[in-house]
Amino acid sequence: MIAARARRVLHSTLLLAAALTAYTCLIVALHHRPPPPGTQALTTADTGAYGAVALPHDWRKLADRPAQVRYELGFDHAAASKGPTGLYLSSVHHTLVLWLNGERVADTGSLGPPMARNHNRPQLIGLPEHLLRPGENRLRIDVHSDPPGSGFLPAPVVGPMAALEPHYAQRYWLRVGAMNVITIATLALCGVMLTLWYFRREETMYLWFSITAGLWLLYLLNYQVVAPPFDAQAWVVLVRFAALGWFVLGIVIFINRFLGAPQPRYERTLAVVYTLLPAALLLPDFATASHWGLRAFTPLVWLLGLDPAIKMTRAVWGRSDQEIIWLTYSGLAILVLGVHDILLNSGLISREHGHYLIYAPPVTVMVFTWMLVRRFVRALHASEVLNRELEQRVAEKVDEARRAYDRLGAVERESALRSERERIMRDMHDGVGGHLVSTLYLVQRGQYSAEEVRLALKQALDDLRLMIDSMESPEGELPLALANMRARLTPQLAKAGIQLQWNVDDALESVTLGPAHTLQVMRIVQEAITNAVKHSGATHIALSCKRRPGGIRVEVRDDGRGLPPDAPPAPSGRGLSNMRHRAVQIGAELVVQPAQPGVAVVLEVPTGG
Amino acid sequence: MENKATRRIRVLLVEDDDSTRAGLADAVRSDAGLELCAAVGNLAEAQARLAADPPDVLLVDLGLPDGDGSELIRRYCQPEGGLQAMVITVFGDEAHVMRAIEAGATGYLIKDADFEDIAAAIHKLVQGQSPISPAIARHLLRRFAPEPHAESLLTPRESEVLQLVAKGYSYAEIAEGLAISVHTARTHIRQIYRKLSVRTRGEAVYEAMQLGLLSPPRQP
Repeated sequence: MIAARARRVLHSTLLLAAALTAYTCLIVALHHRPPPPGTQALTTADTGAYGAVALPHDWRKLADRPAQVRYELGFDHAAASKGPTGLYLSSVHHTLVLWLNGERVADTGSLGPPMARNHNRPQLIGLPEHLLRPGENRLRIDVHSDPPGSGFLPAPVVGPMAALEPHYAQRYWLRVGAMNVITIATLALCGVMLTLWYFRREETMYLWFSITAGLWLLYLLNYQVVAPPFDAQAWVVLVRFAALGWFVLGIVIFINRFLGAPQPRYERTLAVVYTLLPAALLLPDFATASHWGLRAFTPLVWLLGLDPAIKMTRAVWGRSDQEIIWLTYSGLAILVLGVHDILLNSGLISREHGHYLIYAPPVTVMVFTWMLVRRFVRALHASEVLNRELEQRVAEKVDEARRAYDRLGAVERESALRSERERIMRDMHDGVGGHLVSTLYLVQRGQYSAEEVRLALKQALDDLRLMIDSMESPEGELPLALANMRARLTPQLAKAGIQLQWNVDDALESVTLGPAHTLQVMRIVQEAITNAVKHSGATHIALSCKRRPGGIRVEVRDDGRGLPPDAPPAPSGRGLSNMRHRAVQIGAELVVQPAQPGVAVVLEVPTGG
Repeated sequence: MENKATRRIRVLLVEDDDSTRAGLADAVRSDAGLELCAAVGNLAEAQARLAADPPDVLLVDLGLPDGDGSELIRRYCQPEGGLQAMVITVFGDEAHVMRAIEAGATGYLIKDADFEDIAAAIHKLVQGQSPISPAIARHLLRRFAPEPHAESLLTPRESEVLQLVAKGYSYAEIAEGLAISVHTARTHIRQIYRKLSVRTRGEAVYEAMQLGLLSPPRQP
């Protein structure tokens, strides 16, 4: 586990060290290009006040902090040389005026205040043909610097414009063009991060990344602006010192957010300190301010830079997070290139090629951008995977539910089938079976007439029909069963000369008794009607079926002779006891009562609703 | 009417049970207005008879030893043709009757009906009256409009008639309730039977085409 982590860290370290070395070498190589062939670098000059000096000449070695130094240089001009001649300078602190053979030829901007700042710009000045003499020519370069004592003149290169132009263009691109590209890219990223933060307010990391990038852009102005918009000291204090301090402070705050360990009080204190210190640089004169800014404040900023460096290094060991490793090592670019600039500021390295730090943050920015893209893609993948898993789980659940439902359905169907089979068996036993057995006995005993047998069989068939009627609708709706019965009985009743009055409540449509109960009700009603037809001598039979609270009331009323007092006539008696028996079976109440005239059979069936 | 009164209705009886066939044959013979062409016991004989000497009414049982009576109906009774089929059934139950109507029958007969009832039913059939039970009416309603808001193939009046039949009302009561004649009410029922038969045939053709048994009609 630990070995694996160490290996991973080592792997990343080597990879990034290689990449950083390559990057640094590239930057250094791009800066250190020898003058093109056919040109001559002028490496000595006569300054008058300081005698003959070697170029490049750095004023910071001069004790009296001059504001201006005049350089006199000589060069040979070959009369045979073709095309225009030019003078190239890799940079100048901070501006110059050029004289050729006693004639003023050019300048590189305002002498102030505020003075033009050309310390990041190469210069290519065409030397007018008519002023050039074959052989010895005299150049005079008046260099002005603000603050005084900070001037710098590199070795000028004189030669054909055709040879100097590509050299100049390369340098210009390196110091100005590349900076513009970095500025635009940083600005775009700044906008993206702000937008990201706008939609995810709780992730202040993005806000601080954006602010830090913005401060970096402020710092870059020191290298891009030739004509400061206001007082040179204020301008330098703002863009060179304050902006650098704030930029590093921004990194501190961002890293705290990135590692998920904000330190609000510490951060606030730092903000105050790193604002007041540069503000103090506004108080002394420009030269002193610049001196303290470089010698005291800038090291303090580097010290501040240790804070995120240490935190990130610890995080690299503490967490096996690839992102932290990458971000930390990308920060090393700042360190490596920063060391160059420290040496340059201390005068240990020539100022000829300028600061390199400006090339460092883009590395970190690129790594961070790549990290964000990776996070975004990962989040997308994760959400896709999550979605797929969710879908799969939902599908599984649905499947499970369906199987459970199917099982339940199968059990229900089976039990429904069984109970239905049992019911049919019982009904057959009660009805048609019984009728057939009694008919069989009748025939076996030999005491029968054809009419009796016909009636008995007819009865069996009728009961079978009732069963079928009760099964016509699976829900067992009484109105439909009654309607069928009526359709079947109508011809018989008409033949017997009996009028049937039919009165079935429409509200019964919604009542379902179930097939078993429906059949019993139908049997009772049929028995009642059969009895009325056979025994009462009635001419009208009225059937009414009404909805009652909690049940149904069915009444069959005839206008016949009525019930014989105390007489137990066998057939009707048995019919009546049968009806009572069936009523009990379905929990209904049966009342057979005399009516005026005739008999009323009233059945109250509970519906349980 | 005059013509019909003079000419007797020719009936072909197809029933495999001997005693039932004999009983039904007696019922037909006993009516002066009916003439029994033949009483046969299977599909083959019935087909031969129908081909040789087409009757006016085909009285047919569904379950025959060599096939289903509905085959006979489907083949020989066109919706607007002269031959009318009446199915013989024990119970007049939904399953049997619907099958017969779908095949093209316009009536059904309960087997144990009295002689005069059987004869009367045949006369009514020829006059354009078809019997219907509440259960059949209910089933027809469902067949034609399986969902509450589905477009029904039935006219509103036809639906009304069916609904009233399903509630158990007699033709006379229905006619009174809808302020139409009894004859009109009966005509509606006959019309509904025809629709079901035509629709079923259409569905069968469609299904056959789906199965590749029939090729679709050529475009001119």
